[in-house]
Formats: sequence, structure tokens, C-alpha cells
Amino acid sequence: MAKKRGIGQIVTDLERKLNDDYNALIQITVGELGTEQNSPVDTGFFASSWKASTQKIRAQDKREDFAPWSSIYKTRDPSRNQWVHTDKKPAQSRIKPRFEVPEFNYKRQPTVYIGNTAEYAGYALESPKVANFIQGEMRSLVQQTFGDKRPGRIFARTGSSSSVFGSYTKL
Amino acid sequence: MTLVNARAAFEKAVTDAVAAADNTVLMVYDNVRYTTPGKTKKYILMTVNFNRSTIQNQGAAQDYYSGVIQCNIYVPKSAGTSVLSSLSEAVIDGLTSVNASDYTDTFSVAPRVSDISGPTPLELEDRSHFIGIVSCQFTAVV
Repeated sequence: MAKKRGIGQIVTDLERKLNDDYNALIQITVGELGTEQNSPVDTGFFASSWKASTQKIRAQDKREDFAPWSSIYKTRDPSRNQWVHTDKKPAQSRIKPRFEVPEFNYKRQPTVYIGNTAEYAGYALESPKVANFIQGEMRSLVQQTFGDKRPGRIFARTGSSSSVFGSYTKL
Repeated sequence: MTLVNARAAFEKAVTDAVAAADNTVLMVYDNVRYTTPGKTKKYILMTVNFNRSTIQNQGAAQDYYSGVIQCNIYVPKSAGTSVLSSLSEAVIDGLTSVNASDYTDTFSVAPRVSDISGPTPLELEDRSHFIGIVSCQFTAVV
């Protein structure tokens, strides 16, 4: 027979659940932001540069400094035998998250910033994709993540008991 | 035509408020071809994104639209923030006008907006304009 946990563990259990939900929400948010659906994508560097931290995120990373995005706008010039910049739209954008999302503790780190480190992040705000996710889907994401998962439903009879179809209120 | 009406309700509310504040401002909507106005002109790009179209309570699905509206406000660069502030205020007034108790629901979609974010100012190097971004969530029910 499985050992039952005493009621004395309730605070520890609740705190653990809150912390798990807190981290799950941060992980999901960073993951969702780094998709083509929620970030404008040209080379994929912006979508790959979402980060979660206890410090405010600075947008300072230049695409040209980070492989594989550094070479996307480059082409080989045979006459000079060197790589040169081209304005041609890249054939292959690449989304590859650059930052691992660390584990946070909601008590010690009650504020977590999620931001983008790409130097040109400001330009991306012109696209409605980011706002669409943050103002649209984030709300249901928070509700889903922090909501209780009810394995069953409880109904309380609130109407007449004389009928088998008496009215019930869902709790 | 309720999807059309839901979009129209918000676009009209914002357009009317902006026109009342400054009738020289060009409004640009989704999927409309336009030439980027000159650097001394003011214009607003309004985007309405739908995230949900129905709600399934019990029985048949009901039309219930929700999503996000974003208005990018473009004003002349290096000319202070007062123009951006007044246009942002007009946009915000237009958005919140649908929540007012005396709002006339011409399109019969009960439009509502929730908390409004912005105006977030953006000064981008190679852009000819100074930009402010205002966004909010909306709902419309038939």
C-alpha cells in the first residue's frame, strides 16, 4: 500500500508546485517566443536570442558576431576570392535557441525578465507578432500553467431534491 | 459577416478618434498597399490579429472573437515627443471608446478592449520616423 503524505507537508508541497509552475511558465514562454509564429524571422537570429534572467536583458548582440547567422548575408566573390556582404534575402533562416533557460526559485528570485539580446530587437517590435503572443496567448498560458488540474468534478445539489433531475451547481 | 464587422468596429473607432485629433494623419490598415509617406508626414499602421473565433459553451459554437490590436504610430524624427504623445492619446481614446457605456454599437459585435500597453517609443537608426507602439487585447461577441 502506498504511503500517504501527512497534512503537515502541505506547505512544502504547495511551494514545490508553485515553483514547478513558475519554471514551467518561464520555459514555455521563452520557447514559444523563439518560434516563427511569435517572432519575426529573417535570418532567425532574433527568434534564437530570447533569454530569461533575473537581470534586465540588454539588446547588444550583433548578428555578424554569432555563427551560423554571421554568414547568412555573405557570399563568395570569386574575383576577389573572399566573402562579401550581399543584400540578397537569405535562403535559409535558422532558429536555434542561444540561451538555456536556468532554473529559478520563485522565493529567492521573484522577478524574472524575459527579453531579447539581438541588437536590433527594437525593429522587431514593429511587427505585431510579439505583442500578439504576449498580450494574447500569455494570458491563457498563465491560467493553464498555474491552474489546478482537476481530475474529477464535484457537483453540489442546490435545487429541489424531489426530482432526480434537481439542479446542481458545479464547484 | 461578423468577422468583417468586428474588425470594422475597432478600425472605425480608432480612425474617428485620430481624425478628430489631427486630420492630416494617414491611417494604414492590414493588407493595404501604401507608399511609405515622407519623413515630415504622420501615419499610423493599424493591425488587428484574431486569435480566437468561436467559443464552445454548451451546444452550438458561438461567435466570439478575441485577439490583439497593434497601432504603430509614425511621427517626424528629431522633433520632440509631443506629436507622438497626442497621437498616442487619440489612438488610446479611440480604443477605449468602445468600452464606454454610451458607445453606439453600429456593427453589432459588442466590441471591448482590455488593458492597453504603450505608447512604447522606438527610435531606430535607419528609420525616417520616430515610432510609438500601442497595443491591447480585444474581444467581440455576436
